[in-house]
Amino acid sequence: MNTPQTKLANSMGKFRPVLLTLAETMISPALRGNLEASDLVQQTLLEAHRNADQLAAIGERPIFAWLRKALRNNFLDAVKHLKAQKNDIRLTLRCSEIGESFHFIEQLFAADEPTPSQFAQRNEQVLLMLAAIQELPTNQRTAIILKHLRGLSLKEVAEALQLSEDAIAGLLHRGRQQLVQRLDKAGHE
Amino acid sequence: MSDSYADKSESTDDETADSHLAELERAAERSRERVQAIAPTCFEKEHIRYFAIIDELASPIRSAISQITSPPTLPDYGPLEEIGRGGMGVVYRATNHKTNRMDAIKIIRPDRIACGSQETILQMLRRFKLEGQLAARVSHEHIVPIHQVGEVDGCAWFSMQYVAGPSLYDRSRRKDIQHEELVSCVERIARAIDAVHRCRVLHGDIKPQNILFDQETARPMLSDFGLAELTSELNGKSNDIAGTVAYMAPELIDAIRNHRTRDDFADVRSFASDIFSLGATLGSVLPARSTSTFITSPALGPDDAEKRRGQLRNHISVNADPALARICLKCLADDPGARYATANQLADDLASWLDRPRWNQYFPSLRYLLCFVVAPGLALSGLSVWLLQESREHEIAIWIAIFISYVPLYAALWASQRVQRESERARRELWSIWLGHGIASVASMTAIRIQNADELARSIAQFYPTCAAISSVAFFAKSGNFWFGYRWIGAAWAVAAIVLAVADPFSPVLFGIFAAITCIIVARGDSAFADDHQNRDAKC
Repeated sequence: MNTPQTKLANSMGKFRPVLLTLAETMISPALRGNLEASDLVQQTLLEAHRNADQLAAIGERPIFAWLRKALRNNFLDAVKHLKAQKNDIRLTLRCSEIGESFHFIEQLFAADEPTPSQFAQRNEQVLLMLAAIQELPTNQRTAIILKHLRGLSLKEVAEALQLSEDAIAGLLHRGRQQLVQRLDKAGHE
Repeated sequence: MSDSYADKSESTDDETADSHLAELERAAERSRERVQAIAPTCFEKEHIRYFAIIDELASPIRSAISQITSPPTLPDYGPLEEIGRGGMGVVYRATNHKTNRMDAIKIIRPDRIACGSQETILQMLRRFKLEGQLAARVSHEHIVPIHQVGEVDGCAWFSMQYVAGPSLYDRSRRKDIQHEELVSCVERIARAIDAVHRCRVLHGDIKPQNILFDQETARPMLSDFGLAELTSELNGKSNDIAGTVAYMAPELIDAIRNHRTRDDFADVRSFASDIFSLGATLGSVLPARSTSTFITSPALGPDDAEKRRGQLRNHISVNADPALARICLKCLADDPGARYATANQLADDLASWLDRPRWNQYFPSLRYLLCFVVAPGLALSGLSVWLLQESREHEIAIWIAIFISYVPLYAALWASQRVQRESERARRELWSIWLGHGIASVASMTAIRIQNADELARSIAQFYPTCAAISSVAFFAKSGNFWFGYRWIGAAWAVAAIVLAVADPFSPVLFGIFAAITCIIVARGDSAFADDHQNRDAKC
């Protein structure tokens, strides 16, 4: 039963949490509340289904590349739409920055395409981690994303989530513990 | 929401553990800058391990996202405007309030650099600080000068001259640079590199992107000492495998491919690797004669490097004239020992290529001319004078035979003027000595001829010792500024003057032989002719 369609569905299932984490990371504090990561990803996956014929013919990596590109376009469209609605000068800035961030992410994942070297292995781990983040409880997930993917300090994360620093430290520790366990398990499989 | 309730109940159960965790968390944040020296408990070790794993995996994404975060504020500087980012730091542009001058500022952001486990971040911080120091140590008109070095909020930074102009890479993409200008640019960069090397610093990342043109003066400037290392530190254990693969010497690529340790890498890294990068830079931006310019894609793995080297060599031999191609290919030799020994030698060769006479690409070297044209010419001239005299030819023919030997000498000197560029004063001195020699000889021959109006043979017999004495003076004069051996030649000619006086009627033949021998000795002995490189050997 390994038809191209089921393969496509499999890879979409695999990349959905990755895209979610990426989108959640990209939504900056200025945009929070106006944009929903799950909406953007949902829209992206719907588009993928619409292009199922085209995507089913290509491998897993190109599908991921296609999804990233689609997510980027949806993201930028959404920000532009917001900008038109709200006429907020800060959003003008965000658009080019988001574009560039996606550009850097592209470079990161594009690096592993020609040779299955160390880089590729590492990127595999990065993908696993990004997917595993979606399995964490909401608060742990947000804390991990803010702390490690957006690079905020403990204090800044505590302010953003309106919790004490001690509580955030606990969330982060348990979140990381789960992630590492998940990665170790994947390593043994 | 139930998730967060669960979290909260957990945390209230074990509040002391949480505050301990917070301490550890802060320690982990700080330790990006400092090494932890305390002996950790088992629990703490676990915490450190989790933190390290997740932080390293997250770092590439973080560095991509960090675009969104704002730059730090520096004392004395206005708002920073990002103009570029590299593997180590972000480059901004800002106005210094005090000097009211636009500076470029490079900042390393310990929390934001790509690929950062804590160890690598420490490594990068160390290297970044070194970059500022190294670049500040070398002062050269073609190296971007460093103004100020500092640290703010844990971010090391330094400011340097802001060079707005396009990079060599940009210009070659726009096909905005021709052979001549390109070679003169690389020549000047090679001189800068030589200055760098003389300070015992390796640049390590020479590439067209790192050569910037000043907008006002159009002067090429070398920047980005991000990968520079002091050679004295090369023996330390702190070298990173770095550099842009496309311009990297094969010995370094081998070191990467074989996953050697850093020590091995340090062993193979040398000044010759910088020479290779210079050659690769020059070769890759050479304008193509037909199709598009040869530009490498940045995302190039070590495995493609060999193929690319072949392409580059091919590109050079197709698009450069043979002399320039030979210079490039010498830099690109696989064996580091076969490359130029110093960047200055490369610069010299490029300079003489720029000064090359258009017609003499295959022009024989001055040494060759001296041995095989001037020397036989002198010998033949002496022989023909004797033969003509014996056969009682017309006097004019004898005069021509005597002085014809100056023609190849002056021709060789004139040719040397076309191929040489350095020591202009020395060349003028040579000219004046040999011109004076010629004029003095003609004058003495004329005077002797007038004195012996009815006897040509007697004039010739008197002329040759005189001419030998004049040569003696000429060689003594040359010994002052040129080769030391000239004074022995001068002394030999003084003796020859006496020998010639008693050798009549064979003095023309003997003189010719002496002159030919002198020519060969000079060509072999004078170090100015010793370099067998075609464009350099004309240097007198």
